[in-house]
Amino acid sequence: MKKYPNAQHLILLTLVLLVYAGCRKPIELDLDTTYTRLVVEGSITDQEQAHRVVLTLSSEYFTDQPPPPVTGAIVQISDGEQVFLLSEVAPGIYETDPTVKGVHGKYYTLTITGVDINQDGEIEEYTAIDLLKPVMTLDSIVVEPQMPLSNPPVYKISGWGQEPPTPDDCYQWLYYVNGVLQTDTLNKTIFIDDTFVNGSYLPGLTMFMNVEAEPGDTIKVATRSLTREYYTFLVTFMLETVWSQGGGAGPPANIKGNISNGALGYFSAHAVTFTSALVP
Amino acid sequence: MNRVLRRSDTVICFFLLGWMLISVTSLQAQRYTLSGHIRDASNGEHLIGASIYVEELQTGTASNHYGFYSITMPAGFYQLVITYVGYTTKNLAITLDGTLQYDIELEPRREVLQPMVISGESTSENITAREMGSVRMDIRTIERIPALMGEVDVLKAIQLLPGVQSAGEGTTGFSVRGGSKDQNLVLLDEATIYNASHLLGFFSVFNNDAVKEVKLYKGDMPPRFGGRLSSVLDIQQREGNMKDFAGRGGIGTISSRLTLEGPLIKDKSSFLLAGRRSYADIFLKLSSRDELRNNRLYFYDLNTKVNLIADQKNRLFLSAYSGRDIVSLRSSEEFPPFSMGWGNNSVTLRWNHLFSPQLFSNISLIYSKYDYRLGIDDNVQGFEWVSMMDDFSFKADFVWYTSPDHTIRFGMQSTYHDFLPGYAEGRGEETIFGDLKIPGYKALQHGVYLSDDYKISEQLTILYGVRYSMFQNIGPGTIYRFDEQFLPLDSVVYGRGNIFNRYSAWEPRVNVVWQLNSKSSFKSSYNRTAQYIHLASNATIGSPLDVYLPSGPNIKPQTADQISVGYYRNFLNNTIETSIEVYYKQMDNQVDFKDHAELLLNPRIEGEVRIATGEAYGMELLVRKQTGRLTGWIGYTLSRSTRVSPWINDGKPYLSPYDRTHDISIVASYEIQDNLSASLTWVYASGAPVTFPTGRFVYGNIVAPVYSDRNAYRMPSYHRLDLGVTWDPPAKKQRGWQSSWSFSVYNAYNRHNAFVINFVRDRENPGIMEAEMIYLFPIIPAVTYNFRF
Repeated sequence: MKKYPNAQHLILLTLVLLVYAGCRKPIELDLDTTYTRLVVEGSITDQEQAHRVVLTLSSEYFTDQPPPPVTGAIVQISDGEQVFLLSEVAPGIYETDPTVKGVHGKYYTLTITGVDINQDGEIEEYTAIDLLKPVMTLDSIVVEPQMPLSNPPVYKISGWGQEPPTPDDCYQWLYYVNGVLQTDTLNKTIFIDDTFVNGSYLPGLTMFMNVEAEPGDTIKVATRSLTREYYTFLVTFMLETVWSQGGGAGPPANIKGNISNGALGYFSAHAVTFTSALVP
Repeated sequence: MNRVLRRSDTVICFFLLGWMLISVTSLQAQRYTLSGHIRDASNGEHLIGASIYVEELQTGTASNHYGFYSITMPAGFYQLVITYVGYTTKNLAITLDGTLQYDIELEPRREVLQPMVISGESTSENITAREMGSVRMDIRTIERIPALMGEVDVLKAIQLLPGVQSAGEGTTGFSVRGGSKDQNLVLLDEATIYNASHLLGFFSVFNNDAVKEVKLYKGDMPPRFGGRLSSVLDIQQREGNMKDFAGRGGIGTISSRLTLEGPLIKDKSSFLLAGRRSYADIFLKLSSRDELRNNRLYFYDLNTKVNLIADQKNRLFLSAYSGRDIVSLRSSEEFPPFSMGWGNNSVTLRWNHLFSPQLFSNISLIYSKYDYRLGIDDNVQGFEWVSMMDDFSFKADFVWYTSPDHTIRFGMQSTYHDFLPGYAEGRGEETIFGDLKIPGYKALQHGVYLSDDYKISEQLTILYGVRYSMFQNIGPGTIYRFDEQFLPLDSVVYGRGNIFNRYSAWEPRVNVVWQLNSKSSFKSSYNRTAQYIHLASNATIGSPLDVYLPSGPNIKPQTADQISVGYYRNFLNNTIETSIEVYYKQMDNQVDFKDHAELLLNPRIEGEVRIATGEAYGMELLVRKQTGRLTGWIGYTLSRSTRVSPWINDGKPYLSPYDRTHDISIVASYEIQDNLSASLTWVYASGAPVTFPTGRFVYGNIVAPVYSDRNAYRMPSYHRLDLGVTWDPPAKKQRGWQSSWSFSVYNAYNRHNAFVINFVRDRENPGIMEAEMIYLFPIIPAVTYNFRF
């Protein structure tokens, strides 16, 4: 589970019965194609590193092609005082200098220009803004075998830490095995808001299951702060993609990000803390 | 609303009453009243809607909800014909030279357990009935329809009527004339049943052995009903056998039933006790898989009724219903133990009192409740979550049979609503969850009504009346205020007993029947209805997590205006009834929700509501045959239902989720031999409107959809054939144990009707999306053994 307890998800849990009782079969659908939009996936953190923004295009629904990259854009991030220019390191992938580091409490604005997505001959400009919020630190994480004697071994990761008393904090957790990011797709990460846990000590919150690792490996969990807006985006994104099966949620609706001018996706800012443990 | 306006409303009301009185009292002569109750001779059950026809006057009346009839006529000699579908017609000759009290008993034509032919007299009731857009179904008709897994279901049966659409495959949820599923008032012995479904909607909560009759008002709601926009489904429980101790029951594929009934005091008092329980979990116990074996999944219903005929003037009825679904999943690798339960409870106490042979009254005290609770039993992630609604009602209804030409009804109802939308608290020693209580709501809802059923001439009958409804929000309550973007500004806390908001509405209802001749009539009606509580759900399928939201400072009451006209024509000596009705309905303040609304455990849920305006229109055709070896009906509906809201779909109109262009139902039953009958149901409906993706983008390595306009596509059309056979082995004795077997096949040609369409990632290449449909029911045979003693 990604958000816990997520109300829609609880309905879905009860509907699991129903959906699995039902039979599945592929169906041919003839769908129209809508106009092309710019898609943005980018972030800035409080770590000193090259921060990345990826620009692609939306495409027809039943395609087998990867999303086309948007090349030649002018991409910059500003904190109101400084402006960081991003350079295109690969087609559609733009990065800052590796010395850039976000600051807690600052608003970061992404500006993209030099592109003509709707091909009307005029250059468009897209902007997005997000707040870099501070983040809690987990005191410790525990990695333990999920099922004794299973082969290959799988592990469960739980975390301990004090959630600060400020309301409206949202978190996302990712993990690395020996420095390699395992939560490389969004549905492998977990994210929560503090509605139910505000100010309490998290006493061994189960964060990840079915972790594949070997004894002696190092597991590192990253705790990221999210703004409420980005958290809402992630929840709706999951509702419209991975969680959407079964019809328990409301009518489908487009996922609204924070990019202006009708573009899709999100530009987010995060503080990050790390907590590590060895696999027993 | 200002005071001046309200005073003028009162004046109008008195004017109406005065006019009715004048029109009634102007008919002076030496007149006497014949009154009494009409009952089933075999078991003493009151018969609802039995007709009494006076040959000499060429007029008549019908028994009311409690079997009571009253007719006032000049002194003289009369021949009466008493008819009721399924019963032997009775002829009576009386000399009326004083007030006369006369109870009538009718013999049923056949044993109830041989439900093969409704061999009732052909009547022209549908031509003369003063109502339009309403259908009565007795339980014997419903029992003949082949049912999903053999579970006879009144809510599935009414979905086969024109103008009534199923909310989805196999679900008891229904939509009437393009309205939402929460716009139907479902009454069980006058108590509101808020969630009439078991097992996520596949079965209804009504045990057919305890049900006497079902009546659906979809076009014109009599003024005595109020509180919902689209329809009233009025379900009466049986009262229990007044003559002998008896029992009946059945053993079915998924549940079993047992009903016991009998006299407490012969011909004076009786009881009924009916129970039903499903046993899906008993099969789970047989499973070899350990993780399945200890799961629980079942539902039960318990209906009880006691009634007492105290004397000729007083009768008491006490009925209660309790039903619940229980799901509990044992802990597994990934989930801690999870449990969930939901159910309805209701109690109705009714007192029939005759002030005079012409003035019938009924006073009801009603309690009804819906609650659900779910929880996880775990030290760390444990929590319990409860939500409930309680209603306490007082209701008084009067029927004044002034003359055969006028029947005046008036009455009032007051309901106290207590809503607890959600309360969650952590459970377990180290729980990570704190307490979260969504502020509750309390409200009072009132209605007063007055109507006159006026027979102007042989040809022209008018039923006119008005209901005045009022809704008051009372403290304690917390009301959030929102800005134009629906962002919360602040909240106001109101103290206990403080009436901080009110709404009211006049709801005129008029119905005109113009009988062209004995075979045909023309009817038209106008209706205004108001609804003050709304279902906070945007799920496309039935969910037990239903929370109702009351109207209040942020949510205005829903209102609807409906006009309909119809033409009714009977053929072949009334054996074939046909009708065509067209309707137009305009609905205001329809409750819809913003995109990705969070409706559960959300204290600011009112900020998720987006108001829409709705419009629905359509045409309904019905051909029905109620006598002979072959009985049944064919219904066809052509309709449209749209909504528009400035906040949804960029302000463009969109189809309501309940829009179905075409809807066909064929229901037929054929008596092959005296103890063998076959039945058939075929349904066809245009696919439900749905939103599909018309583009995609990738974020976080996941393909995400870009959608079309809301409901711009349709699901594949739905059709299904069900077959059934009922066989009654001839009973060895006249009385004693009798039994029958019902065999049914649901979805006989195994049509894969899409329940939902999902878009899933290809297993090998997650970058490719595929459309996949889920269908719930392939061909499903079932057998039920019914017995009676």
